[in-house]
Amino acid sequence: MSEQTPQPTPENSGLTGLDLLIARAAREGAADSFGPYFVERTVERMSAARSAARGARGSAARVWRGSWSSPQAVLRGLLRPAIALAAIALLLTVGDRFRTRTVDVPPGATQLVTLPDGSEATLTGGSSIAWRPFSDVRAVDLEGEAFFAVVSDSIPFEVSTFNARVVVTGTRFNVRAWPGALQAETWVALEEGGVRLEQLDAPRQAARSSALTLTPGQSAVARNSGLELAAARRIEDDLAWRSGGLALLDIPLADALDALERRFDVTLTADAALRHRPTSFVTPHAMDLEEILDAICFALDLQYRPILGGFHIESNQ
Amino acid sequence: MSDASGENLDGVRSGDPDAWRAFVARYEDVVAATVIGMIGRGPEAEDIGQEVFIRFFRNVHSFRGDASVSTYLTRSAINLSLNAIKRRQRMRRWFSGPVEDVHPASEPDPSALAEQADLSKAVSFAIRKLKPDYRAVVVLRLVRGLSTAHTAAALGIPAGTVMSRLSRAQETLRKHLGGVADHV
Repeated sequence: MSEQTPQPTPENSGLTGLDLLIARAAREGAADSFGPYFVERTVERMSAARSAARGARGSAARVWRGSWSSPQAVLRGLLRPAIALAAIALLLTVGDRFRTRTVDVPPGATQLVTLPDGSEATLTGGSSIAWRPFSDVRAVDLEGEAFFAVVSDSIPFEVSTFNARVVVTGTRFNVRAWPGALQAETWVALEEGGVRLEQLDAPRQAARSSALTLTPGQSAVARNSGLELAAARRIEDDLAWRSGGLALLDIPLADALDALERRFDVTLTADAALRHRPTSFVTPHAMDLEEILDAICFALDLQYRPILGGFHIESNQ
Repeated sequence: MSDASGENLDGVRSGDPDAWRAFVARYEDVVAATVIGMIGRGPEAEDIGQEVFIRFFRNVHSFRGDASVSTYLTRSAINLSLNAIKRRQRMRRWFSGPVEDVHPASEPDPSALAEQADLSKAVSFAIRKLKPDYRAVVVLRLVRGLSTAHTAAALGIPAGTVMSRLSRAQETLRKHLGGVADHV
């Protein structure tokens, strides 16, 4: 059955009145693309999944196809390449064991990264994730914000940030940790499963004893002063960015502007005296930068003006 | 080898990245219209879009071409979108009590948007307020413009069910967008 011929249009579908208007508007509003990088990201993700699957199968299945003419030729043909391949494989294996892989996401973008075990991390703009080949622990380092969908396994999965470690076995959760922020904290929000949050600079034993265990829907924060469950926080806010929204909850204005810079890939500056002003802004759906700046400036009685490549925020004189 | 719709899938089957690229570019609009119609724009929609293609690539060796590639991708996009909607509903049920509407209360009201004659946006929001099963029919019939038969094939339901769901969905849309005719 082909969908190419003949397709109904709102006009020839027999609809009338309001139904016809709705059908026309629905067709006009239909999306025809996920964005400019969708094709490349999909192919990249597929290639990563394919490489992981190949790695799991090992190289034993590879076949060397040559032309055989005599026993000597067979020996020459087999031994030399075999030795060379073995040497290369050894070098690659040894090198691979210590090689750290890093993915940096440019501002203004989000990127989905498939990890060696099939777990996935969706990173926000400006974030960075790094890992070594997984062995007895599936460990990644995160700087920035990412939503993790971790494949269930008996081997623990750990996300380390600048001041905390999140330990899980299989679950979906969000981690935000910007080490350069004025209010540098690690926030964890759990959607499904269970996670344990530990302070990173404490010894493992002590960290475990003071760890917080989260249940679905809970958020927790790791600060220099310790770990804390955020009872009043809504997980929808922490996950708002996944559906194009944004939640800046009681953070310094400078940190809020950093978040907007990463989201929109622009330059945002503010008078030095304003950098620590507590700022809150929440939207569950996508909004333009200027709409957001309008709202923030209105709430804080500030104003903004265009500068080269962005905006400057100043007092409302 | 070609499938029933004449699609050449040899390159895709052999894992040629250029063939994948061409395949994704060719069908992105089909998947985007379905997924974004079902759950709206955002990284989650793109995530689901990628998953649709990855599942197809993983299963392309067993794809026999009984359905067209487009129908196969549409079915997969609908199923993954419905899973995402269920996940959102579950999350809201846990944290916000019983769920009647899966969308945040602060999302624009369709009738208010309709009054501003921002009709496409109003219709998109109104569609996302429909029950997921009805939403799937509306997205395929009205947004994608598929025929009743193709919609039925993609959803795996009888054509009669498509028509009855569409009729009920239109009734609900008319209710949500009541004042629209006066403003367009």
